[in-house]
Amino acid sequence: MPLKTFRQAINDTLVQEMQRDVRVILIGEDIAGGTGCEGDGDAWGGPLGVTKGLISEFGPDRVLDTPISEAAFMGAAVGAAMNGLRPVVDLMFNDFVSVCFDQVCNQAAKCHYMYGGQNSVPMTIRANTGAGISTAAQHSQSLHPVFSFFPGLKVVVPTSPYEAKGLLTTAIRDDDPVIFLETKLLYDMEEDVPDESYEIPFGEANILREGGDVTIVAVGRMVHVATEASAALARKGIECEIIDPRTTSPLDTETILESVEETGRLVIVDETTPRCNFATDVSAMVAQEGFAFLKAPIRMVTAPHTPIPFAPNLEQLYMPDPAKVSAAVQQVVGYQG
Amino acid sequence: MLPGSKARASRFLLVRIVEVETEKIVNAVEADTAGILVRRVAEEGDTIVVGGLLGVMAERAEIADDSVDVFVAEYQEHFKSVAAEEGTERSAEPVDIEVGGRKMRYLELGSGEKTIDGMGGDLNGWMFNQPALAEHYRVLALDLLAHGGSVKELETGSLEELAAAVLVLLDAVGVDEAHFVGHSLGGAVTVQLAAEAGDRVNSVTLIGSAGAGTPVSRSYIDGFIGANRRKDLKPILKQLFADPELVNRDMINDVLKAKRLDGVEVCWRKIADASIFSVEDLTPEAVLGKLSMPLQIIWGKEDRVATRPEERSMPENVVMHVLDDVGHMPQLEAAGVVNDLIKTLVDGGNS
Amino acid sequence: MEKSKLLTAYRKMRTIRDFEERMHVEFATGGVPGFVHLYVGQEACAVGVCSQLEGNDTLLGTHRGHGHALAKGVDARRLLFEIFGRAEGLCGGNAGSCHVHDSSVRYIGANSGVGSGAAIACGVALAAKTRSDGAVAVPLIGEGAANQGVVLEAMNLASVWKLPVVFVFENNGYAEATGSDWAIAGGELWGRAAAFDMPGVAVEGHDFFAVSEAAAELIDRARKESRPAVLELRQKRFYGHFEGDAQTYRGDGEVDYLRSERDCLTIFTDRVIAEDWLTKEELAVIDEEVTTLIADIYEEVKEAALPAESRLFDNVYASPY
Repeated sequence: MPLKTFRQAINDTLVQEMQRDVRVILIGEDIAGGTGCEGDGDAWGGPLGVTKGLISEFGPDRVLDTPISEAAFMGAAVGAAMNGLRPVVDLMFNDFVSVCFDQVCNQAAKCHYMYGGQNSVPMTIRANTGAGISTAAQHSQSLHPVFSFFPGLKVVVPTSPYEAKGLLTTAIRDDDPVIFLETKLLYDMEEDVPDESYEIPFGEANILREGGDVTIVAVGRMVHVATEASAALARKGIECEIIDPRTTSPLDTETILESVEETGRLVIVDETTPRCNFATDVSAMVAQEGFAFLKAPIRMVTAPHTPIPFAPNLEQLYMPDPAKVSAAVQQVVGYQG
Repeated sequence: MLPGSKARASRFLLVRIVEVETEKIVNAVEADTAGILVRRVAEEGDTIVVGGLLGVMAERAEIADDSVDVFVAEYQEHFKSVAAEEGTERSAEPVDIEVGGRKMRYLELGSGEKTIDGMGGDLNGWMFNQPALAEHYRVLALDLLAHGGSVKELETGSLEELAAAVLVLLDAVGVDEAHFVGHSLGGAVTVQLAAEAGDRVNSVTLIGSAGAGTPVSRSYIDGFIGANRRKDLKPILKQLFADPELVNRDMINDVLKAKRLDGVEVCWRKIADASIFSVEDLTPEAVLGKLSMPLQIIWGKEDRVATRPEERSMPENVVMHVLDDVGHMPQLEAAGVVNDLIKTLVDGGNS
Repeated sequence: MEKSKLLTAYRKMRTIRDFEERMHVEFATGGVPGFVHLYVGQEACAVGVCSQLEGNDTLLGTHRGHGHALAKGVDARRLLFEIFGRAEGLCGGNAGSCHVHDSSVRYIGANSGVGSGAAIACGVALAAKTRSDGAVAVPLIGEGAANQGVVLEAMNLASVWKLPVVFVFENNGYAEATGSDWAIAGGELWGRAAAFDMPGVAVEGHDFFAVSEAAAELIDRARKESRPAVLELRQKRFYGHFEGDAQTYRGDGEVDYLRSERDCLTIFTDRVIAEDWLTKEELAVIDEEVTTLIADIYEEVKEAALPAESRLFDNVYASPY
């Protein structure tokens, strides 16, 4: 099985889905790059190179560069999706939803329900997410909790190249609007990825490691942070069960509860600010549905309630890391009622 | 597994495995007696070369630490010299090959004989048989059409189609005749090959086989093909083994990864209809009685997937081996016994 | 214009007028849930535009959308049921007055964000362009929404992508309670078209013939050349922003003037009779049929079944998990 980066896995998926279904089109700023310029018309392939080569293969009718007009092109994607196309929109940074919030959260999310099921909105919104490369407060947020708030949206946060390909395939073939969040720090991660297409179902958590002492639920890159912490913890005799929900909406509450029933302890790792986020969501769910399983209070490892700082040392301080996860795990394991 | 945790093991069992990740198989090759893991040599996540030492188990947890130390040191020393002699050539890679315009995958080790795998599995299912047999023979493990790394497209999914692809593959790799080992669906394909091209089949070993004239569990097959989520698949995979605890996260994930590929579900459904359910009305006599090459059948006594034929219903040319405490996967659950039986047939029948 | 088209236009305008006048009465009695925004006085705008649309063209309405829906051919009975939140409503009671939608006649519902239809229309037009079926998308946009960024972005995108979109601005004098003349810099919405490299035309919205002639030219061009255009229709509404609006922002005698001098139905009737295109009798037949229809559906809706409680959970997702 060939080794592919996260970036290549997404590019491959887009190529295969566009080959498979002529209704799939791409929309976004600089997804080709070079449109209207004298030089290379396939200059960028997105600011992070994820869609490189696609305009050369599929042409400008299916790979549509846009002016900087998120509201217009996101709205256009909704209209196109309701009329037989299956747009994949590149929002670039997930923070930019702030300038097309109405299109994503009022239109895409609600049209199917509001219109009594007359029109589905089969569109995928790709956006990068997360801190770690000094892109500061307006380009580094992890907004999966914001999107997960809205019924009608499905929210995917893949953790590896294999997962990214299967989940993006599912997203593009899904009949609902899907938010697909690509963690910046994972773009160069490599993994064996099949050349063939495959779907990973939404709403089924992945159990990355089995262990009987503590359940760690983590999302996106935080899964790797948790995995690193758990390897060190295993040497201390603490076995962690690591659960990657894959999709924060729908959320596989069953797998989380089953695990907590076994371990009796829960740590949630989420690279977001601490209020109304994924961690609080899971925490509340387990407190309500699985209180009897708990041997210790739930702990959440999140970023602090601050905007994301620019200075690299402060940014490192901002993000959850293995040491913080390890400390939280040891705290719940050592808890004496 | 933490030191001190219960495990099924014989005294000082060496855990020989390709990667620690496939812990399920570790359990599968362990012997019957219960034992205690007294020393973990490898850390989880480490990759161990085949034959490397993963851990040491003993009948009692109280075994003296220093005797374990001595054992570990001796083993590691021995292994290093063996590994140095053999070089690192043992971890061969599977090969993709275009046969009749369709991609098929196989893995070749050693020199001499061939194996064919069963439905839903791939060539990795022979991981405890192929290397052991390859010490004596040339061994090919291959992915049937719609399985493993082979193409996920089929015309009808009939035994004729599956068997023809195997013959084309053998032509492509220059194998005129061979001993065949088939498990489950692979067994049905082997029977088809033996009937169609008997001159190329030196002997036949069928393991928990379809197509041997007995029914295959329809609820298993339908459940296996339909299950796309871990929760649905887990209880189904548990039916494969005498000890359902052998099914763990890695095994489920591997099967899910195979099943998710586009086209697989449709292909397997075709195969089930055309190659499994369509041939189960035949009798062992009708299927096997007319084959002239040496022929043995290996069946787990606890097989809940493929119905075990009555020994007395077997034609005279068939030798039958029924293994206690083994389910539908004898080649994993009792790899050593299966390897010995294959070797005995191959050495006795031809040479 | 063909006689049958004139009859259809008259029937639609009359239906909208009667539908809305009755709604005004019903709302005052407290029988209508939520808010309604009435279209009375502006009937010739939507009906004039729709007289130039083909079956596969799409109209995108606004919150003041009862007239938009009826003009595009939405069934009056099911529209009314939706406005009353009944099970048989077009959207099963999930949309109501402000969002009602009917994909069977290519009518896309309104947006609470008011200008978003302009952007969605770009996608509808893109899909049509991809299929090469010659269809156009026509978003109706209030002059208040015209100042939203999304509308200006959509105009730019439609021009850059060369999409068959005709942006129709309905300038009814007021954005809620704020005067258009004050809120629109430059005063002329049609004049903004030039900045986006598209033609812009403004006509009086109470004149069905002026609207349909202008729409014909712009829609035809959009269809043939796959290029956008702007049509501004000027006609003040007769009622408030929503029902219950005391309209103290209006000038003295304004509504009396509108009803006596700028009523599209009177103007249409006078013209078709003066030109001998239709007879009084033909119009009277339609009047009577519409009167009966409106009376019947308003009577029926009050007894109509409410959505089953299980409907709360239906259609959140097209492919549930």
